[in-house]
Amino acid sequence: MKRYLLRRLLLMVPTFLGITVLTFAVAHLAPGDPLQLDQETVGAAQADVAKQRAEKGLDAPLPVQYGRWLSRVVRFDFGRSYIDQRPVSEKLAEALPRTALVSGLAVLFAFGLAVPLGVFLATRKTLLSRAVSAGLTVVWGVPTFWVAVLLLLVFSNPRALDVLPMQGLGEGGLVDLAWHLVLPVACLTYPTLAIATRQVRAAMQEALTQDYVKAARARGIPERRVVWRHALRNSLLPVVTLLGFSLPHVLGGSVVIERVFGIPGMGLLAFDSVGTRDYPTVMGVATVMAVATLLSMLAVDVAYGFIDPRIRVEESS
Amino acid sequence: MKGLRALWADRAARPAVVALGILVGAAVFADFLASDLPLAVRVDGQTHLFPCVTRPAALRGRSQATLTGTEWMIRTPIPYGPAQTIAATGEVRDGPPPWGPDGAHWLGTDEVGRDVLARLIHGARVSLFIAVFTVLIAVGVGMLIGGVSGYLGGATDAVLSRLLEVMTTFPLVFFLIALLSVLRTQSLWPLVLALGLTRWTDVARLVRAEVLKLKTLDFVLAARAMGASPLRIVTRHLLPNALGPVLVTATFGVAAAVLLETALSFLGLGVAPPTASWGELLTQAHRTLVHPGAWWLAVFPGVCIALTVLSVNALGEAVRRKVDGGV
Repeated sequence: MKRYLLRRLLLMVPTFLGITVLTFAVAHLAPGDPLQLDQETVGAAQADVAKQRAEKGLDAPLPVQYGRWLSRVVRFDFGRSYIDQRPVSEKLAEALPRTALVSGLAVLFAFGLAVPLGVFLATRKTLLSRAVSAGLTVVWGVPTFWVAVLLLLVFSNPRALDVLPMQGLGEGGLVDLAWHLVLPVACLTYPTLAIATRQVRAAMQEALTQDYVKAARARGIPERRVVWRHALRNSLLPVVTLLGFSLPHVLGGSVVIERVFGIPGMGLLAFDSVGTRDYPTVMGVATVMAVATLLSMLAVDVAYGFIDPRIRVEESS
Repeated sequence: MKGLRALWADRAARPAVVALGILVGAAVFADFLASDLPLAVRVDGQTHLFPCVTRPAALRGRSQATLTGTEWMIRTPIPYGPAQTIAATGEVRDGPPPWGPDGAHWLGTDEVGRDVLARLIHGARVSLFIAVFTVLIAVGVGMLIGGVSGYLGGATDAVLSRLLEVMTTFPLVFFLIALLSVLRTQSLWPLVLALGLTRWTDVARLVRAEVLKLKTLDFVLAARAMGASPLRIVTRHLLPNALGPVLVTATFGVAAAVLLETALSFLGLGVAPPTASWGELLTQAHRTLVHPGAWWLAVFPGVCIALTVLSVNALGEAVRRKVDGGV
């Protein structure tokens, strides 16, 4: 196991470098640098701009700039934002908890509800279960931000129900925060819930037709135990994969939802920093996202081994 | 055609096929359905056939609402163009727009008096164009990379697999924002290209797996024994056999691309105004949340998008059933 983990961690290095190189290239691909934007907006003097560019190292060739950035990052120094001169790590430390809170709750609700709901849909064939299935299919096809707009139209509209706040995360206080979280978390939860439930249902339906389930029933094991222990455990692999894909979004945030609800999290930070050519911030956000993605991919693979010991055996041989 | 008939035979997919037929039909014939100019008109001693498409210079600055002195005129079913504001239609009403749905504007107007139905119909053209071509590019790139990676194996596969992993884990927002700020023009192609170049990873992973499975089979060995070049083996023998699953992924991809277009429009990275796309219409609805009563601005585009995504997904399920069942 230790060797396997080590190998996997080493394999992450080229992927991590690839992601950061790509981000670096793509960020610089966009025309104009922050100083040029300055020049256009406030009319900074030509000589000033050249001097500042040299100070920020923006006059060096791109590979050199990337090398400098990398050598700083391995020492956990993300540099300072071009926009407000604050350390990027500080900006990240501000945005990360907000996004983690909103998206984390959404993932928690989505998967927490999807497993029992999927099992319920797979084991009952009633009108209700069919209606829920159809509802989930419909709901999945609906763009999140449309739902967000409709929810705002209904719940924070002086002409309809004016009960929920429209923007931000409130001014402190748990109750206020919870109140502000309702709509964004709901918007982020439902698409994941729809997909995850479908996955659980399909996997459970498949598992319940297998011989080992029949055998378990024949041995007189209570149906509840057959479903929740024997069948469910074998149905969890695709769900864990899906969870692995969802985890990076917990830290990456959803740009759209954060924008609709005015939550200054990672998604908005990413969006704004690319727009203003704030390279240090762009790279900081990308690094956090890349590490999060790679680690959650690893976590998924390790989790496979715990859920299905057969996979572990193959891995070590 | 054969494929279409097979899908039609699948009862579960029939409503989806009908819905998509209507949407695609509206997109293709948008100019005949909703235009500021009529289908045909005789005015000033001249007959114009389909001026709504040909847009003759003689009718510049005039519209179905303002054309006077016509001998006869065949109007389009919806006599408004997608970008025709009240300034152009010359409509006078009690309050300022947005106006709710009524006999003149079946689905209402936006805040500058443009007909929502006309914009939806023309928006269908833009949104579906973007979705379909995005998927075509993604499938092309994905099949190429997946095919090469799977067939050649070794170092090529290692490098391409890393690339695949990088693209999968790379935050797409950065890529799209940067690419679109370079390529920003009135044309739709930059958007299509940017989306296509980020969405090929699913297809590539799938094709690679299929090719890895197929290349050990005897028919590939036979082709190689006959002296077929690697290029020929990949393009003529391996990829056609991997088409089924790719078709399934591609169908679902269209739905995803429609949703992505709406999200990009919302972030201000979509089509440039005044072009109408469904995402742009929804974005406008969000901007006009200041008109709290104007529900029609948000509801109708959303219904179109949801209908498209649902139909395309239902179609994808049907294609999957066909492919799994062996066509």
